Amino acid sequence: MKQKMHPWDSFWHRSVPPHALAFTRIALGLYLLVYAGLYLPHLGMLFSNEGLVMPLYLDRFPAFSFFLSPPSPPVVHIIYALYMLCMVGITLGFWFHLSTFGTLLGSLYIWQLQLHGFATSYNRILLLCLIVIFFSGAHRTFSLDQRKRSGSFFDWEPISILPQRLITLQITATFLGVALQKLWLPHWQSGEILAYSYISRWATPVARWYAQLPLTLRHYDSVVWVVKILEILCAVTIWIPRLRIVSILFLSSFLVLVGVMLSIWWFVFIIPAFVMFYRPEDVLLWFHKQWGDRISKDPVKLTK
Amino acid sequence: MNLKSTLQQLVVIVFIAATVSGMSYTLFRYKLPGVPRSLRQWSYGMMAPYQTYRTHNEGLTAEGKRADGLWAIINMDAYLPFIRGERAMRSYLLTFRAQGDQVLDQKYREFAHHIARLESDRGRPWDEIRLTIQEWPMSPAGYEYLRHDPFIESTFLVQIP
Repeated sequence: MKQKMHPWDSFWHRSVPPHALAFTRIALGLYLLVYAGLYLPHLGMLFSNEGLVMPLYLDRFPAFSFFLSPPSPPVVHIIYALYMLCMVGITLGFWFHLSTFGTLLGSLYIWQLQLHGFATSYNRILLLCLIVIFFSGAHRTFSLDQRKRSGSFFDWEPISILPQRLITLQITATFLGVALQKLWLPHWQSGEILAYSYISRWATPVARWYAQLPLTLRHYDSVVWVVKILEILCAVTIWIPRLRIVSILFLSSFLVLVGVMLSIWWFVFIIPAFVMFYRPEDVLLWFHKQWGDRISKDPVKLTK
Repeated sequence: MNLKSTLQQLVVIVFIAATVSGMSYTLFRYKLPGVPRSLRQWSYGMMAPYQTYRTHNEGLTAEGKRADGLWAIINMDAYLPFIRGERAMRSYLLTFRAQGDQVLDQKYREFAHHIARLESDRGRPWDEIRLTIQEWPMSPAGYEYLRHDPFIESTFLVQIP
């Protein structure tokens, strides 16, 4: 007889289908490939001893200069190729742990090498996601590892819901923290911050066009308050099944607009992760409905 | 309770402590006792973007002294291949800035030497190089629209040799 789980354990630790997390893993891998790919034309300048590189830890740990010094351009290209190969590994779920570890290590390596890397919010959330995903079992379906293990790319094995909870709660905390503090941060009490941002160094041509429209400061005031309130509401309502899709649509639009208007596009990696706010069992049923028997409702039984 | 289960519970507790601590610091600047600073700051860092804004533009500027004694602006686009906002943030050398004025000054000198080498490699040797932070007013007409005299104010950083 199935024992009823304590609500705490059911929320944090129950076994669930891995499809939502696997989908996020694939999207994250593709995002990382695009992000890393943007630097490809400038590898020598950004990471090699022939570029403009000032390693962060070299002065503090001279004994490790072999590892901390910027390498020559050919070596940089080799390291970067391996780094991106690891991202392909994450996307395909191939040698998943090695690939995720390689991506983590590569990210930290180029971060300390690269010109004055600054640990922004998205850098931190991205790093957290990579660490969590390493331990998650996100390769327990839609992966070459699973194919090797049980014969099919679409077979699945149950995983703990914990990694999914950590990422979704972090997303919630980020939206809540970011929006709640703006209720009393002095610079966020009017729309002036938005008006200035649309003509600042972060502004895109779209934002500049918008800034030239004959709009009063009252318009910017309204936009700021609507965004603040909806951001707080949606961070909560995304947990309510009936309001989830509306919340996801608003939060996704918000992140896309931050990219389109202020060229801060890096947060878009959060959008695919919204799927993890759905019950993993429902996500499995959705995939089953779309792809039929190719995706079984039951986990694969391994012989050993 | 086995080891795996204990570790999972520990992860949950650490995550909750870090998030609550990060949130209370973000919202009220209250430091929750018992939570290590590194955990709080890490969590705070994930909730803290975009707290303030500028009402003027500013950017790191490199100038080279020519043989005739005149100073000319050095185009650093090829050396800082980032979008404008990111380029500005990186040129503040934030990670070194956090280590104090002496380190920052030393690192801007290093930066200037890198520029001198890169320019020389491209057949543009300069007698001297100086770095400044230029400030100029914002304008809806364009980012650089008012980047000219009499609107520019410069703050000297370093000069080499």
